[in-house]
Amino acid sequence: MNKYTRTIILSLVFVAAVILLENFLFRFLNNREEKLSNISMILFDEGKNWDDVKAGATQAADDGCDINYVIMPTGSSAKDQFDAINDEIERGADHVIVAAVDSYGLRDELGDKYSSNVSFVANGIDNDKYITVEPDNYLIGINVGNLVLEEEKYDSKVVIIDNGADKEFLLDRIKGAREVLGESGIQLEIWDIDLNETEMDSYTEKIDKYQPDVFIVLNEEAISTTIEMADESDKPANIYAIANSDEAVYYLDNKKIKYLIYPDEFGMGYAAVKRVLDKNAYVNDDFKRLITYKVVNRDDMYTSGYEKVLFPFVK
Amino acid sequence: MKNKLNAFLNRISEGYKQRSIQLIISISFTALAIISMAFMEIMTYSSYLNNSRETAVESNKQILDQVSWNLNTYIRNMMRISDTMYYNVIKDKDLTYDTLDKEMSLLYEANKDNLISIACVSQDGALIAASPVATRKAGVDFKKQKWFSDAEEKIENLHFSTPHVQNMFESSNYRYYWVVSLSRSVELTYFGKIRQGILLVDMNFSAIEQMFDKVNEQGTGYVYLIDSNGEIIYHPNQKAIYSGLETENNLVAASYDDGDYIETYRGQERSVIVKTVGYTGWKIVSVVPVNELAVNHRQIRFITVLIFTITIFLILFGNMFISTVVTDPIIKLENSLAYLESGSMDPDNIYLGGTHEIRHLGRTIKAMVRQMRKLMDDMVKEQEEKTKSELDALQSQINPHFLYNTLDSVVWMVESERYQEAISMVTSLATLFRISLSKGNNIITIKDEITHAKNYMSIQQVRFKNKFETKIDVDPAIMNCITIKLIIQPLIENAIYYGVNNADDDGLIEVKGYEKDGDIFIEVRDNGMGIPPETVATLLTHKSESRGKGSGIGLWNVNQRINLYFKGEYGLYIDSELDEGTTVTIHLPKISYDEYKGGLSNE
Repeated sequence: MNKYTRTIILSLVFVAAVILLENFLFRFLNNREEKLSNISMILFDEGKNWDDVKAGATQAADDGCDINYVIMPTGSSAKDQFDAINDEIERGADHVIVAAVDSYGLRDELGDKYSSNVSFVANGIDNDKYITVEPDNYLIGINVGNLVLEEEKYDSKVVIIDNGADKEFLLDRIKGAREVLGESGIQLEIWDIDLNETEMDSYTEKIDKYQPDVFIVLNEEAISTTIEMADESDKPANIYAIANSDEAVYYLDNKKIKYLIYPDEFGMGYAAVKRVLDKNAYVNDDFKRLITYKVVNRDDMYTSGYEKVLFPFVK
Repeated sequence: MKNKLNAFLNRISEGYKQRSIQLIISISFTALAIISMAFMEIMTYSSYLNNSRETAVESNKQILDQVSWNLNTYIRNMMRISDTMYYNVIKDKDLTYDTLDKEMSLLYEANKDNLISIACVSQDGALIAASPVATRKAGVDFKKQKWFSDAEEKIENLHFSTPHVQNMFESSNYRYYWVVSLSRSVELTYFGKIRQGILLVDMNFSAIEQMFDKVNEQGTGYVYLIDSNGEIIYHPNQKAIYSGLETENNLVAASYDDGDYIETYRGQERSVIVKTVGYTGWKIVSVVPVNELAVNHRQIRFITVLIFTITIFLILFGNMFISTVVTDPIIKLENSLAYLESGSMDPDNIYLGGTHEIRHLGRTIKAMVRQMRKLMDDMVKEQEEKTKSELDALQSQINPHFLYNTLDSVVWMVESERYQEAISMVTSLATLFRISLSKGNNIITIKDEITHAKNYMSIQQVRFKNKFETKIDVDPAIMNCITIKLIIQPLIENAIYYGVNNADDDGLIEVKGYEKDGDIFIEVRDNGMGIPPETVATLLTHKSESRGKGSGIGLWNVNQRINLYFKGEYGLYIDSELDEGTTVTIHLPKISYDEYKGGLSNE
């Protein structure tokens, strides 16, 4: 082999190496920029309307990203949800977004080891290692309390309907409302209601005895039951509801609800997925400030500022 | 700074100059090729990008035109429904006796895919007719609705609302409709008298939503709709915008006239095309990030970079290869010349190969080496001859035999009390030696050479007892010209020993010097026996052996010395005739002693 042949062969080998290297770099850079393609969202309680959260999540997902929605059956335990999380991860989910069915039970099950590929939406587990995309539920509770103080008589009897003592977001709302109302002199009771109980008889006696003026409903699952309860009462009662559903809007429109506190669940779903897909999204934002809520009554629900939120086109 | 830069550039330049031809060719051509390639690639890439962008913008414009056309159709349809209801129904009816319900219902049924409701309201806010039949919501006052006040305010116009939720009629199933309202003031007839009323057509906004959704599903970027104030009517991401999680440049877009723009929004460069929809003042805005305008932008960039690098490497290797092919023979030739530097003058060591020019150069160098070698051989030979001749001449100066005979003659003169003659002979001998030495100079004046010859002849005349006579006739004009020393003496010696010594008659030796044709000629003639022609022919070409007489310096030697010093035609000529005598002519260039000395000092 003479010197020229050797040079030519070496050149060709080198050029081939350059092509391979560039190809590798191209693929590597592309892969590095490749976004997650498989996200699972495990939500509690099939009784709740998750349309807005799902709409937000779907909107935030890019073309190449699939979101698999898993709705836990009503009555599922933290263990069931933990199993569901493991199932989704084993199935190949890049990330799992969870609305905790039982904040404290799931916290114990989950520990810290999933903090990189599990985050929470709507209801977290009171663990700083995990990101939770939710509004400031404590502040919502305070606002509801203040609203009741502004709108109702000072000697009103207020009942907070509690239907989920195992959920952190509800506890925060109760805490906020209780803090305001508890110090005001208003008569306040918190009724723990089992929504699975279909018979209203069990509450009739309680209503007759207490004669509440105001019901504070902490989530949409309890609205219908609370309206039924209010209707049972001899004394008309005003309902302040924290909810995000068409049903709640309808009740507001039909004056069944006096005030509706409408958390931005679309924003929760959107931000939860966006944060997973784009590492730069909302890195410096506090989700409790980012996710807003609207306080609406019948008179202003059709103003342009509220109707866009209450009646989204996506419905 | 400038000095440092200049120094740096100079260093590069110097370093560049000191590199090998191969390196210079490789670097220069590669640099040139890379610059050209880079320029071409950038131009091609830019041109491709621009073309792609223009094509994409053009394509987006067409899409926008299509959307605009659809939207206009939607709006015209609303107007058509409103016109039909007004001009074909309301104007023909006296509402004292007739109702609008039947025709309104028919019109609704015919258009219910896109129509939410049609309603006619009196000036005082009473519902005259509505289709589909529905119950007005409790507490709803038509007069407080914007569509009502707009129509009442400008009765000659058609008024399009922005999309809003219809909230006039009861809904039984939680359903709320987003509608676009077209309201107009109409003339209602009661008892033949005209009263003002408002006709309201609510079109389903979902038709617009679907229209835009369909457009946004395809291609890159997105299209949104704003009213003349920049308020978003439709946006694919509008819920996130309302949630405050995303933003849009809609207020700026509202200030754009129809056309295409490049804007930078939140650090992203975007192509924006704006088109205004007739009647409403709404604006359709198409947004495409500039880096998505070109199809497969990243892939094209990758391919461009790949082609660029491969080409560079191919050029690099190609240049290296070509420069090697070109310069290898030069390097080989250079290496072969190193032999010359080391002193070897073997022409066979010179490399012959490579391109025509290099081979030619090699052959030329080879021929030159051959020539040099021949010249050097000649020079060495010449030098050897010169050295030998001078040695011979030197030997002639101290010929012991001549000296012995001369001194013997002096002794004889002294013994015979011929003191004067002895003194004369010793004086001649002394002069002879002085001129022979000439302070080591080999070149002397003709005058000295003639003096030398005279002294020699006078000594020999004594020794040969005046057996011959001498005659010297030299042109005084040439006396100061130069000659090689001791060239006449050997000729006189030959004339004595081989000419007049054996002759029966009185011998005569004549020395004659003159100038002719710018040269100097010195003849030494004797009237001796002469030389046979065959001997004359060889006397100057073959070195003659001393025959034991004289100094032993032959004519060849004298001729050789003259040739070595003066070259060319200078030397000896022999003209001899048997029994008549011989004439040997010395031919010298005419150079004055002063010229000669001047030449030496210049050297």
